[in-house]
Formats: sequence, structure tokens, C-alpha cells
Amino acid sequence: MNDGTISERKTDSVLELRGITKVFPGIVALSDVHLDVRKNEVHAIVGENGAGKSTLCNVITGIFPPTHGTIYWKGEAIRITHPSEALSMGIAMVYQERNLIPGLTGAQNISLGMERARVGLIDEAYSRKMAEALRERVGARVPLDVQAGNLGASQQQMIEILRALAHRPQLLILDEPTASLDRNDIECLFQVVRHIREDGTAVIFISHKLDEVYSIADRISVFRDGRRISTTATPELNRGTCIKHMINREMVEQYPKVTSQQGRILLAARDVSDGRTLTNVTLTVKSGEIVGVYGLVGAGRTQFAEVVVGLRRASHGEVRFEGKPLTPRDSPAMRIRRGIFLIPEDRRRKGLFSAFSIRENTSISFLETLRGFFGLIKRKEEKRRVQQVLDSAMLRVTYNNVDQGIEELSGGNKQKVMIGRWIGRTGLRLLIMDEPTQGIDVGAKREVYNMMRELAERQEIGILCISSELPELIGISDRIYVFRDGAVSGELGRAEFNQEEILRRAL
Amino acid sequence: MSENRSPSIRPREKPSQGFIVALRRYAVAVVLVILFVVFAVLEPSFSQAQNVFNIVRQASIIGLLSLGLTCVVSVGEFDISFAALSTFSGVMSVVLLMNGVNLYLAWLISVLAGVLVGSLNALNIVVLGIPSFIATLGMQSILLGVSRYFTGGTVLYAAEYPRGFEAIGRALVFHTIPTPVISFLVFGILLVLFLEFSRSGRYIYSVGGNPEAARHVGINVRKIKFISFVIMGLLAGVAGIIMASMFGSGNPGMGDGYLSPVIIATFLGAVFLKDGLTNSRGTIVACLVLAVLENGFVMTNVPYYMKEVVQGFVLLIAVGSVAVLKGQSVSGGK
Repeated sequence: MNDGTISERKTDSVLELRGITKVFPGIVALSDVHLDVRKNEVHAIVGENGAGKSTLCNVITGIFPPTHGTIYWKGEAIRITHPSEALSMGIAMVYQERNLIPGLTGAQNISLGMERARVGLIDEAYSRKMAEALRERVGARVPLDVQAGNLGASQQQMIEILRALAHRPQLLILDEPTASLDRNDIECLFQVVRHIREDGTAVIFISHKLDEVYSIADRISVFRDGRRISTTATPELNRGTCIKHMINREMVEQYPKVTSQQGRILLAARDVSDGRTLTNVTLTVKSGEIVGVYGLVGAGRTQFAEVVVGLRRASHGEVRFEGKPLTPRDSPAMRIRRGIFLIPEDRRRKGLFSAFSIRENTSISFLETLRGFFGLIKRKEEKRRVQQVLDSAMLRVTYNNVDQGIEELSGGNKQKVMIGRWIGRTGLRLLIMDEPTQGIDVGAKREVYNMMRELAERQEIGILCISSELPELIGISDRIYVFRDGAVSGELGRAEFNQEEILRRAL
Repeated sequence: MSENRSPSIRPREKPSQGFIVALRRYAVAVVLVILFVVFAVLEPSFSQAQNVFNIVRQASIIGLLSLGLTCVVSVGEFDISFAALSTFSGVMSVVLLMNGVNLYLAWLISVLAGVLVGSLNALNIVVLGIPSFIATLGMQSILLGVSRYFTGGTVLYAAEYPRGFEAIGRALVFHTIPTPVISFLVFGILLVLFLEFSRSGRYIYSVGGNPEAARHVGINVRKIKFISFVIMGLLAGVAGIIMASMFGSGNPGMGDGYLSPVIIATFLGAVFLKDGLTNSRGTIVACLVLAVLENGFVMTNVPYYMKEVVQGFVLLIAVGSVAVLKGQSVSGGK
């Protein structure tokens, strides 16, 4: 699979990584990575979520140093301790998320940090000329005098690329640059990238969209689980082979046997669009089954879950729960009362209250059932029920006492509390889980899978499980829907489960 | 992702560290006791029952207002109009009385006016989306202006007040306990029960701590914020009518002096028990600290301007120590 170890330093390599390893407490993000990037090339890095692409960039741009290994820049070994050092050496990066100053114009953003001042006052003409020259050189078409906040997504992207180019980098890293662009803009972007390449700058292009990678990249490196699996010239890499390199063929975890019998239709979504991300999503979940939802970041899975739960409005289409349509008037609280529970992804941002205790974090979903005199919370009862859930065979959370601060728990236990919050509430009909095993170890994952199977076996409950871990979904689901670019690109029954097929539909 | 192989519970803080944490959490209460003792030693009449009641009476108005502000800050917002609102309610009660309105009715209307203004604040902030500081700043201006208009620009003294007018401000229960103290006690208990032990109170802290997570759990964030501002309005109204009764007049400037101490008390209270989160019990203790300081200074003949200097220092030291020790600052939520 490898194209051989790089034993001699390539003379036209502008960047060379040798033996780069990055270890975080408990996890190895990069393992012995050898990589070279040449002048005048667009080098694509592809891989699934968690393959190590972001960590690789962070190491190259100096956000943190590698645990082992050396970086060679223009032939010399370097140690970067700060991103600004990388920038001054000629390594620039454009991130997935925008980092522009909305109140400044395009030109001002481009020349940010490189302005010239006369007697303390910024020379705007100089900035403007700099921005214009860059724009010409690269063939971009974007207004320079409009406030960045008023520009469209692709225009903002272009401004950011120009801003990176203002530092005259020899290496430009683009992280998922097409994430928020439409087809036309993508073509414009590619023209610009080709110009940049001709100019002599090396480009690292990170993406999971194989179509685009194949049309812009000269070489493709596939990463998986922190390792570089292969590097091949684009014309020589067969798409099927590429996908094979991306996925893990071995399914180490064992999943509980799927024996559910499906009952009535719990959730029926038809042609759901939200005017922004989702387009005509049609999907059903029956009681007694676990329905998996696979897709890459940005595919619209979480957005769909938010529509079902009432946190996001659908502009189009219909969602029916137990036969009855859900309207915008059905608030999230009302949908919870009807039995639709959502365990959100990103527990730090959307799930846990960091200032609260374990008790308070768990009971927050069923406080209304703990009302005592004058609306005060029945604390003894609360404690009992919280302990009951957390100590249950399904969850077995490790903690000292329920009044501990939630932040004292490990990630895996925090995730279990998130699950416990909803398991502890009665009346569950449809459980939507968004990345439910995020951050928990193999043993705990198994427990969660068993819990899911157990719940599904209670005939009135259906589960919709959104996950980026394909093996996990294949192991526990009865059916899998594949999302791509906000729409359902495929539905597979258990008999048809095939990693390559599913991944193909997701890319 | 990285946490899954570390021990399931982070190692407990060393026992000595636990002691430091406890010290930090109860520091404000400890300071209260120390201050009390110091002043009692310096000036023996300080610790006499009558003076103690004086202290709590002084704390009462600040207490009512800061309990209200605690609600608002805990939900993640701010309200700078409370002082002007209490002035407005107080002035309104006097104006109504001067026009022959029944005493209890006048009080009721004035308090309801407070509730109404609180609702208006909530509307501006929750529905229109005006940032809370700006919205309440604008309201403050309006209230001050209206109060001045009602009093014709001067202090209103009624020729004769209905009997019972002084009851809530200047009277004594059992010949010893000033009535404002009773009000503070009653509302204090109610607010502690509400914020710390009731569902809505828990929701208030939830919204302040993580509004996104609160939404995901089905909490009606708008409703909860609304409730907070209404409570602030109610308490400001009550404080206003007590003030009017205390001073025996409708003074369009009577609330002004409370702006600083109330804000200080609210954030100083955050240090007590909750390591940087505003909370009701902390606020009460902080009010007592400020009142003890003020009263103590008077009793020991410290120049009056020292009060503000010390208040400022106390706040900075208290909040600063939380920020340094905990690595994060005081807030209404996280």
C-alpha cells in the first residue's frame, strides 16, 4: 500500500515530514507519518473523520509540536513553536471556519497584520494596492471594498485565501475549502488553486470529497487512524482503491445480535427541507428498530435531527410522529412530552451544564416529575432517581456522589450522564442519538450498544442513531440512511450493508 | 476523545486543596464574622441589638434589589434600571397617596408598575433582541425622567400621609425589629427557595449556564428570561415603596445611591458558596457584609468616603481571588 519509505530527501520537496507522531493523553492522533509535499503540486490529503488530518495540519502550522519526528522545511529541519513562526517561514493555512473581521473590508482583511503606517496612521492605499495585486495574480473575482461581513460564503473564502497569500507562502494548506461552496464557486476556487500552483506555491488540499480531490489534486495521500496509508499520483489511483485505503476493514468490536421485530411507523419524514442545508429528506423509523444515519461532517444529519426535535424549522415537507404531523407550534418541550428525545452531539456545547452537579445535569430532563410543595424540587426523590439511572446495569457510571461537579467526571462518564439524562425520563418513544459513543472507550461503547438493543427490544421504542463511525453503525443498525450534502443519498437494509458502498454514497 | 483512557474519575484534590476550596467558598461569610467582631471591639455599642437591627435595615433595600439582580444575572443578562425603577415606584406611591388613593391600593399599584416595567424590559430584550445592558440603560433614563416629571423636579412631601404609611419603612415590629428587615427576611427566604430549590430556579441557572443545552432539554429560554426580569421588577417595586415610606417623601433621586452597592453585592455574593456564580444565598451574605462595613464605619467615625473605597476594594479582591484561584472569572452563568 505504501509507495515506499522516503529514505532520501527529495530535492523538490518543500515540506517533508519524517516519523511524525503526536500523542495526546489516551489517544494517538498521528503515528509515524512520513509525507513529502513538492513545489508546484496540489497534494490532497483524504481520510474519514478522525483520521488525523486536522492534527497533521496543527503540527505543520505550529499549533503544537509533534511528540516524535522531524519536520523538514526547504531541506532543513525545523522546530516551530508558534503559528506565527510558521507563517513567517512561509507556511500559511486557510481553515474550515471563517476567521475574517466582519467589520473590515475585503482589502483590509487581506492586508491584516501587514499594513504600512505613516505617522501612526494606516496607509489604506498601500493595503488596497496589495490586495488588488494579489487578486490579479491569482485570477480571483471578489469585491475588495465590501465589508467582509456582507460577503457571501465563497467570497469570504476567497478573501481568506488572498489573506493567506499576502504572506507569500511557499506552502498553502486548505482545510475543507469547499465545505460551504456551491458548484460554480468550487470551479472558481479550483482556477485560483491552479494559478497558485503555477506560481510555485505548494498546496495541501484536505477534503473528503473525492470528486473534487480527483479534479484538482496531483497526488493523493490517504490517511486512516493517524497513519498515512498511501500516496499516489492521481491518475494512478483508482477510486475504489482509494476508498479501500480510507476505511478499516477489520471490525474489532462485537455488536449485540440484531433480533428486533419492527412494529408501527414512529417517525415519517417526507421531503423535508430547511432552506439552507437539508433538501428533500425522506426517512422513516419504526418502533423496535435501530436506524443508522451515516454521513460526513456537514451532510445535514444533525440539522435533520434538530428539525425532528423542534429546534430548527423546516421550510418544506412534513414530519409525522406516530401518524400525527408535527408543526412549528409543537415546541421542543411538547415533542419531549410526546416521547421524542434527542441526545445531542458536542456535549460541551449543547449538552452539559458545566457549573452543575451530576445530579442536576441528569435530572434536568425530568424535573417536572419531581414537584413537591409549592413547586419545590423533591430532593430526596431526585437523588434516588438519578442514582437509579446512573447505577443501572445499562450505564454503570463511575462517580463518588451525585453532588459532585460534572466536570470531575471523565469524558466517557460524561457521555453516559448525557444518555442517562434521557433514559431517566419515562415516556420515551423515539430516541435520537447524535454521535452517542463520542469519546468513550471500547468497553463503555459495548455497554451503550447493548443498551440501545435493549431499548429497541421494548417494542414501542425506535432509535435513530447518527454516527460517523461506520463500523459501529453497520454493527447495530437494522437499516442505514446515508446523507450527503443535505440529502439522503441512499438507504440500505441490513442485508446490503457494505462499508465501501455506504462510504461511496457519502462522499 | 482523549479522556477515555484516563481514570474514570479525575484524581480528587488533595485534602489540603479541599480545605482551600472550602475556605474560598465560605470566605465571604468568614469575612462577615471577622468584620463584625472587629467593629464590635472598636466600638462596643456596635454589637448592641438595636444597632444590629439597624445594620440589617440598611441591608434590606440593597438586599431586595440585589436579590432581583441576582435572578437577572444568573439567567445571563443584566439590568441597570433597577435603581431608577425603585425610585419610580416609590415616587408613584407618594403621588397616588397625595391624590387620595387608598394606602394599600397605592402600594399595590406601585409594585405592579414595577412588574410592568420589568416585563417591558423583558420584551425589549427577549422579543426585540436588544442587548440587555442597552435596553435597561434606555429604560433607566426614561424612568428617571418620568419620576422627575411626577415630582415636578423637586422632592414631594405630602402634607399628611394616611395612617400606616410609615408601616413598611419606619415602623417596628415587637417594638424592636424594623419592618424592612421583615420584608428582607421574607423575600430573602422566598428567593432562596425559588432560585435554589424550585424547578424554575434551576431553569434560570440552566439558561444562564448554557442556553444551547437548555434549549435542547426543552426549556423555554424566553419564558425563563422573562420571569427573571419580572422578578427584578417586582422586587424593585417593593424596594421603592419601602424607600418612600422610610424617607417619608417622593424623591426622584432616592434610588441613585443604591446602584453601586447592589451591583457589588450581587457579584460579591457570587464568590460565596458557588465559586463565581451569582446565587441567592451569596447575595444575602454579601449584603450583610456591605451593611456591616457601612454601619461600622459610621460607628467608628471613619470618614464617609472611605465606604466606597472599601466597597470597591472588597469587590476587586473577592472576585479577583476567584478569578486567579479558579482560572475563570465571575459570571451569571458559566
